[in-house]
Amino acid sequence: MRELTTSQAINEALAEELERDPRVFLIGEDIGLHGGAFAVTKGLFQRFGPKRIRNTPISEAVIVGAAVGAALVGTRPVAELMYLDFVTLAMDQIVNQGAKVKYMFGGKARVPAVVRMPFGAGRANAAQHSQSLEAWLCHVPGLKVVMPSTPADAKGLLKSAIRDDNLVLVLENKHLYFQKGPVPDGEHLVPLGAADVKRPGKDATVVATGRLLSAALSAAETLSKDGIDVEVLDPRTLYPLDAQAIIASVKKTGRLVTVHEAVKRFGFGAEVAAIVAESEAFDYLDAPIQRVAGAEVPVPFSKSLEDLFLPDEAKIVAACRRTLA
Amino acid sequence: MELRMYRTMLRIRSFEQKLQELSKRGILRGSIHFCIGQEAVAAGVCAALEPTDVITSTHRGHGHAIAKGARVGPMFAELLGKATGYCKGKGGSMHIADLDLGHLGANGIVGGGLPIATGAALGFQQLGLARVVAAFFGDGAINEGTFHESLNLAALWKLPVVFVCENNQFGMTTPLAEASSQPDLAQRAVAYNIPGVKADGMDVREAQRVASEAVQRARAGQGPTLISMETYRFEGHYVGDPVVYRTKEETEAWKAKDPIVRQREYLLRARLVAQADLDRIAGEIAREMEEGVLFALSSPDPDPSELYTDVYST
Amino acid sequence: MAFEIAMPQLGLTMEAGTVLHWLKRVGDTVRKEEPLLEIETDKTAVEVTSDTEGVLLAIVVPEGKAVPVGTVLGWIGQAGEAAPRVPAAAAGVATPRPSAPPPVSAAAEPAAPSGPTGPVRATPAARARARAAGVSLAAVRGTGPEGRVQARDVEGVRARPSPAGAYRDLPVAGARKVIAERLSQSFHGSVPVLLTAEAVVDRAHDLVGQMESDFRAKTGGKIGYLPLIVKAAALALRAHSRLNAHWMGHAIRLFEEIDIGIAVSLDGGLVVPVLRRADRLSLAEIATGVATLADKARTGTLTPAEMEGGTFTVSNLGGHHIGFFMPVINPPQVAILGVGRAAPRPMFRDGQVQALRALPLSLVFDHRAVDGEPAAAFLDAVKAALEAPYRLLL
Repeated sequence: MRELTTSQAINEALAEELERDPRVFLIGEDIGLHGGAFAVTKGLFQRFGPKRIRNTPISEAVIVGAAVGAALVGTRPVAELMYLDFVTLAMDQIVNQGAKVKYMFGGKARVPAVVRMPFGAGRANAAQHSQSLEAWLCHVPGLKVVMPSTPADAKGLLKSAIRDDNLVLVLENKHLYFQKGPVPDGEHLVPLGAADVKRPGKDATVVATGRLLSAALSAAETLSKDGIDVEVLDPRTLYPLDAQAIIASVKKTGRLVTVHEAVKRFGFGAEVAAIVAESEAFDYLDAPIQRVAGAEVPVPFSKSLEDLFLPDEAKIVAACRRTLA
Repeated sequence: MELRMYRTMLRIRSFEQKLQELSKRGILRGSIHFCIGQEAVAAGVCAALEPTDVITSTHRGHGHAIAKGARVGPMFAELLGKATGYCKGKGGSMHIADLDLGHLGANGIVGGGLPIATGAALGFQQLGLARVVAAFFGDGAINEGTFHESLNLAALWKLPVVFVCENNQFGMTTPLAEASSQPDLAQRAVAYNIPGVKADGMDVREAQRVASEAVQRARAGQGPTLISMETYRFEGHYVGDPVVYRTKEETEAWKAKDPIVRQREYLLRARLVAQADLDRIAGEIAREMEEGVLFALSSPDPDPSELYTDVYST
Repeated sequence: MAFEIAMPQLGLTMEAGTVLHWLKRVGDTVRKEEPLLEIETDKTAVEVTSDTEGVLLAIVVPEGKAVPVGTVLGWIGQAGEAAPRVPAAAAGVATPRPSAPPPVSAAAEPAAPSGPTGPVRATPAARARARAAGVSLAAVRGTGPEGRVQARDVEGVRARPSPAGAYRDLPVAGARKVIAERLSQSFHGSVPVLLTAEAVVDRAHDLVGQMESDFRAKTGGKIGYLPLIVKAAALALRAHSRLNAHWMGHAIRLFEEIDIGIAVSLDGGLVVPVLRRADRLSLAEIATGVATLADKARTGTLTPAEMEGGTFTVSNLGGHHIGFFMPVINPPQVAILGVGRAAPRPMFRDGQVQALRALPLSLVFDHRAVDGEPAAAFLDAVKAALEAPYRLLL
């Protein structure tokens, strides 16, 4: 088991899949010689050449649209948009084209493409480069959405996404690129649609995504000193969601706290809360569900304000305590 | 080939006219966009393609589909929402597709097919296949951002795609002069450093010749061409369009250039066919349409379980 | 077409009934007006007759089950006809709610009040456990925020150590269940305050003695103190009308008539039949009225009308050696008078210790509706009337 940064783990995943399947190629901005805005594709251009690592102009719509078209005729492209915020420029190709061609065409088409998009606040990137927009994408039938929180999961999920025959959006929290974690040697695949209990517990269930997984784990540590035993669950795939794992956990603990960077309204936490309320876990709920989320504002630039925007360990601890009041 | 193209155009025209009948009977649902008058573009371009080449189409795409080899039975069925349609009734007029025929789909989004066509060409390049993509789009789509991005990338990477603009002079109800700062559409190729060619879209032989040159360029790895086919739709934008934005005189002037009539006259003049052959062909096509409609009308609706299928590939 | 047999609404405040006994079996022929089944409402058993003729196609609610008014109990139709399917929810168990007479003006009626008399705040887990344990949420004290009942609170109610050794369970159902819930709501919902007073009843005692033989000759029964107490209370209510009222939540309903409920103890529980216009009855009429109601209560023949609409209640434990006690207000009334046993005691009077007959009076009033002053004044009036019983004849 090695310690890799998330960035290195993703790099490994790309290299392995490029090696394994000649139909796989990368397409995106500055991914060639430069090695990617976040160094994720470092070294790949040198190793695989310009035919497999396609460096594009700044053209989000055709980057994604070309990925869809290329996938339709039999290749397996992995596109990259530099920031999830820029998905807006490619929304038609994702939502109206890629997500729907299989259904609209009566089943014959396949779009085995991946779009990787870094996201998240906390690096003074301000309002247009810091958003968490996963809710938009999870809302569209035909799309799959994954959000890894550890280097091992980032590698395993990306490899599975590339091998999946659907349009899979891989949302990578920027903050995690430089975080280290253990990554298994050899072939490492994490299946889509499977959550992971990162810390078992019995007093409350915390469902946390992205960089907030580690804040949730810290919160659990803090609460354990008061004899409160929190279970931390990492969904890993947002759609299709492993609802069964969440339901089973809430049946065990009776309390649910959702944690994400995206703003609260109409968000992933709302979906989890509704799923639980509609499920058999409803009769086990012993306190109102709590959602911890980003402040409902555009992400501010100033650090002091950006820190207020982001959820943190203290907010997660407070939410857990509210369920135990 | 001349005769084949004539036949194709006549099939397209008959199909559209049959749809007009069905529409008047009130059994067609949703938006239908007729390409009557524009048949030469579809027939001419597709005649320049190999069966393994692919096309992307538009919301006005019945002609493209038929020209690419679609049979009218499953097309009628698709427009009537039947299980036997090309898309099992789940796509409708604006999303007709058949990957087996190399038809990568009509598109309800103006300009939505251009990046996909660019991508298909990229895919062929990746796979080392000597195949070409013909991307159909209109004078309305030429002002979408996707046009710009697609042509730029295709030109940069010398992708094997031919961009065919069906310039029917109107983007819905807005005339070309009011929509395009550069109304000479072929000139826009200059921005991408690729050849731009204007052609008479009412002349199927010219359309085929111009398309053929562009297809050969693409297949030879020389990159894309922008072709502007000057044409005209004889009907409104959609069924029920009151067409307040064109004059009768203008429409009549273009109708005088009917591509089917022109090709018929050419065939007779060049003694490639006799009148009797033309009559026979007309009869065959009329029967083909009747059978197609019967097939569609007698087909079942999709099974309710189809609501949830084909969302994801397993 | 099949006709449904539904749990009837007998009486304005009836919200649920228990199926006691089906008098017909599936497949039996039923004639119009023939008795079909016996149900138990708050306190009485009532026969339900058929509205139609036909064959009893199906029994949906079995004996022993309590269901809300309107629930389909069974179906009558033609022989061989299939009974319609009834959704599971319709055949569910009654969930008791605080009863209140229908509002007179809709505009004044607010949404269901939250708080002790409104819906109980309880988590889904608490509700599930309460349902499983047959515990009423209204009886559980919630320790969560804003008094929310949580699962552990229900656990606390369940976990009473059972005595070692043999025991038998009396099911809490029917009348017992209703009493438990209503009194629990009353006690936890209202603000009960106890006032006590002693009436010196030597004169009343003499009066009763004088009336006894006449009364026995006339009616064959005993008279006792109770008619005097009821009359005294009724007259005092005339003068202190704030205690002749109902708590409606948004209003205090003051009644024109004085209808006094007399608590009667039975084997199965407590019933409180109502003596209408008690202030206008003579002592004899009160005595016979009470006796009749008590008889009917014991034989289970009280009509719903006889049990509804009381404005005040008297609870007499004088038959036992009871002094002061704290009776529970009968909701939605605002007060109840408890009476203990009159007994000779040494008391001070005119500077001397004398042997006097003291009757313990216990008034519990709902402080939401009535304040201490008026309540005390009322009790004073009752005491005064009993100490100078000629006032009861005026």
